[in-house]
Amino acid sequence: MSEHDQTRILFVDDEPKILASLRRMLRRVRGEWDAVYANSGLEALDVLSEQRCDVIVSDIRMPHMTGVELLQEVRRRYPHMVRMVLSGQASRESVLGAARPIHQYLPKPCSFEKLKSSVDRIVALSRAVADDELHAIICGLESLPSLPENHDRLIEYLQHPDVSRNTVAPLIRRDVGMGGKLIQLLSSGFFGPPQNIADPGETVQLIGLDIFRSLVIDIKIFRRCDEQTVETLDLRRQWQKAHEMARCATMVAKSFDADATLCSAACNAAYLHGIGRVLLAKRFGDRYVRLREQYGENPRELAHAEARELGVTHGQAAAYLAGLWGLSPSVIQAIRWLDIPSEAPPEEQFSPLTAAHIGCALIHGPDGHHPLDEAYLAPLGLDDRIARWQQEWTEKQNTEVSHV
Amino acid sequence: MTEEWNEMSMVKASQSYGLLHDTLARGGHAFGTHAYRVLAENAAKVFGGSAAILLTYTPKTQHMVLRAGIGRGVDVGGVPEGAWLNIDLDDLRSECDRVRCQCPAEVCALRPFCMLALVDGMLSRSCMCRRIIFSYGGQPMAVLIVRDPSPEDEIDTELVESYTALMRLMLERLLDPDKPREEEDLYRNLIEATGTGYVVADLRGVILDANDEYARMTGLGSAEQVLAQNIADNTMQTDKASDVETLLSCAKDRVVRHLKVSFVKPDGGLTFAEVNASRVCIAGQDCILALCQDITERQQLENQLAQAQKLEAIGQLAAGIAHEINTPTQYVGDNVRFIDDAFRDVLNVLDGLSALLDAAEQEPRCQELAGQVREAMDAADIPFLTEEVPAAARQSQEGIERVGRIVRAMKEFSHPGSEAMSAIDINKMLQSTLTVCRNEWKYCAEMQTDFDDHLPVVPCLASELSQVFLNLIVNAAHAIEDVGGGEEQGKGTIGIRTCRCEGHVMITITDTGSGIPDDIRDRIFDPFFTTKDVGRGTGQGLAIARSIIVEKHSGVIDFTSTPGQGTTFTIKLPLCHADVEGGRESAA
Repeated sequence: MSEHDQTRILFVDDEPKILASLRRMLRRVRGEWDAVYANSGLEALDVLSEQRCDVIVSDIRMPHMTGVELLQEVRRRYPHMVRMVLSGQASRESVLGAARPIHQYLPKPCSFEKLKSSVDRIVALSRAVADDELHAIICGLESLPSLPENHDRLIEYLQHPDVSRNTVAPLIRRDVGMGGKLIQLLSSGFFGPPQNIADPGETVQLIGLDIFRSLVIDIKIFRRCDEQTVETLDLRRQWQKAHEMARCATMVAKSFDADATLCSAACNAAYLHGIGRVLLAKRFGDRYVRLREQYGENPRELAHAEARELGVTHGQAAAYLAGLWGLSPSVIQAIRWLDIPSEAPPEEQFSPLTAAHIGCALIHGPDGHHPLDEAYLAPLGLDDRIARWQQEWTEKQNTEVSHV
Repeated sequence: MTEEWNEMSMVKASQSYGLLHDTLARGGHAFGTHAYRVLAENAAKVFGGSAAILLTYTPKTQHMVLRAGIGRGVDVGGVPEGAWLNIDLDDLRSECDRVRCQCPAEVCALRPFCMLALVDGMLSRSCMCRRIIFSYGGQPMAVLIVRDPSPEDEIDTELVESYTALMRLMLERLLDPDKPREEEDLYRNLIEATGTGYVVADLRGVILDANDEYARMTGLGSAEQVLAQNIADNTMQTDKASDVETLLSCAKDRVVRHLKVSFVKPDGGLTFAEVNASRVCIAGQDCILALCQDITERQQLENQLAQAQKLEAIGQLAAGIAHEINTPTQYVGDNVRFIDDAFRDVLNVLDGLSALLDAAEQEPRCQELAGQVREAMDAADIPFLTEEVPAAARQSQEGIERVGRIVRAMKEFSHPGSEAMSAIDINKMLQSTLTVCRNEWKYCAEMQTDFDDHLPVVPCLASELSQVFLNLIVNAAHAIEDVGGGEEQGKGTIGIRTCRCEGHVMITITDTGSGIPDDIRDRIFDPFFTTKDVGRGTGQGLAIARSIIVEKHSGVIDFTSTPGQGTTFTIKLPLCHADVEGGRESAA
């Protein structure tokens, strides 16, 4: 989106009155947004072949070419585009197919403010990702890679008609490829207003097992990645760490008596933060591997090196993805600054960032690679609590080990 | 009357006669052992008498013993207390002897007969009786039926015959319950083993034999208590040809009938039964044999299924309608917003124009034109438009938002297509249920909600649970309407509260309505039990609620109620189903 200052949006709807009313609404953002309109999927593709657009907002149910087909095609041809749905379709079944290609789902009726703020947030985050190729990688992502063993086992479980969500939950929880996609679906408006998720394993329960099954089996929302990719991206370790961080961050937030929204935000931030490294590894390959070998000991230095050498930090990349997925600003904030909270815009009080940062430090142990950011934590006055959290986490780990 | 009196010998008082006297005098009471009482009562019923007594005759000693009597709540010849009853015993004796001698061809007769009451030795009043004399096991019996005589009154001899034949059958069962009847026992056991209700009745529906299952289904206690009652008495009467008529007609047509019958229990409850009725011949008499299968539970399930299907259809419809409404809602909302914005901009322009006009009016060359514009502006009443157009836009905007909210609630309420348990925000579900049924309560009740913001999600069957909430809220509104909630007496209050308690989520729905009377508390969850008028309640709401909460969610539903003050229903739903707490990993 660096080519032009104005955000160019393509609206697609088979109801001309919708397009007309949108055109009228856009009068308020003259100069900020540049809009184009198409009455059908084919017309939309014509428009896109003539001019570059940043965002597409499409209806789902349209004659000839459905919104789902259109968005799939747009993703294939123009992976850099933000793909949003604006639909009045009320039953989830009729839109399940959209679960793969969409970034966000806006239900009709949707206020213009909502549409505007959703798009603006993404545009703002995208500015941090100047690299076109990385940009296209992040936007073009349909789903994150799942570990082959987890993916196979899930399919196997789901063949069983009476499988319980409790059987499926541990798989999801330990695999950000799956848990992340489900968090997206639940945050993006696809399943109604966003719900709190204090455990990625809970997502199956929130969606309902029958819908989950058709998402996995029929729509294939998860992507089984090959062993080589697992090695290259160091996925096993990444996903395991993400899972632990999410648990620990949730524990910290809960023991601080934070409300459900904050606990959920802390959990999501800690869980999704590591995706940034996977994204950078995918874009920069060996260059990034070397960078990590050099600075991996110290996340702060790594972040600085990323900014210096690559022009983008892994926090920024993950935050952009979180923004595309419709996660709340506090989650995005926590993901962006998790490694370097003292560089974030100052916060007055305990936030998802606090919990996620502490959670991340605690799982690496007191002498680990992930030291606490004293400059950030000092004003919050949490010193005595941190020791207790460290202990609580160790106990939790031990009981888990003895349990298994 | 006097001649008749002379021919009669007077019966001396005895203990039995004292009893008889009491019985007849009080009216509506009965005495005697159960077996004899049943016969007397049945005779009164069959022959339309107001009272009946039964005597047995011992030929050897020529003693007649009064065994049972029944007065049916009618003034029996106006017999006052302390009176004697006089029966021509000699006549009875000779008749009994005659019947006995003609054995085995036992004969019975239904003859006019006179019974007199003496008060202080004076003839007080006579009442006409009919008598039946028949023999059972060599012992004659006499049944005297007090009945107003009328000249044209002809007793159907067929009826008498069938009565006496069946009486013998009943006596056998009643007097010698322990007498071994092997073959019969086998069949009885067979029937009992199938859990089938069994009833034999004569062609008028008078029950001659039944088992305990039948008695249970009709709510009449034990088999003995059912005897001599009429099937019709505890069978649902409907507008169409009554079930009983159909049942009885099978004897005439000699066909087996399958039909569904609803029994009405004395407490008002219903039992649905599938009945196979056929004609059988017992002791030479045509009878109806009916085998009844209790299908109440099945009926209940069928109803629930039908309800669920209806809901599903509504859900699909709602989803479709929601889509239809959402699209225009989107552009109407945007357009109203646009008009509002645009009008403000136009107003800004008008402000500048006004100043320009003031200046132009000073300029002779423009005066005429300026005057015209001024006129047009006055005609348009700009100050009014300045005030009202934004207000109109704002209100339209609010209206469209409300439409959107209702459609969303409708969609959420109907939950099309989710059959498996999913995690649900109960607060949100209650909120959308309230929106959907707002019309039911808004005229009679204030709604007070106290939702726990920290309520965890609960695994549940969404559409069924919202149906339970709907039922309880609508019930609450009806209860308030029953005590006149609304215009006259001011609105009542419905309170809905949610909270978390020890592994459960608790939902309470309180109303200030009529309350639940003590005598029906045990039965409000019974299927088909309703106190509502036809069309307002099917008696299934609470039964379905219970089945959904208790059976499908392993939850608890209970209530407390003070008649006249209101009712509180409490639902507890378990947060998780035991095995895995809060999604913690099991040792997989």
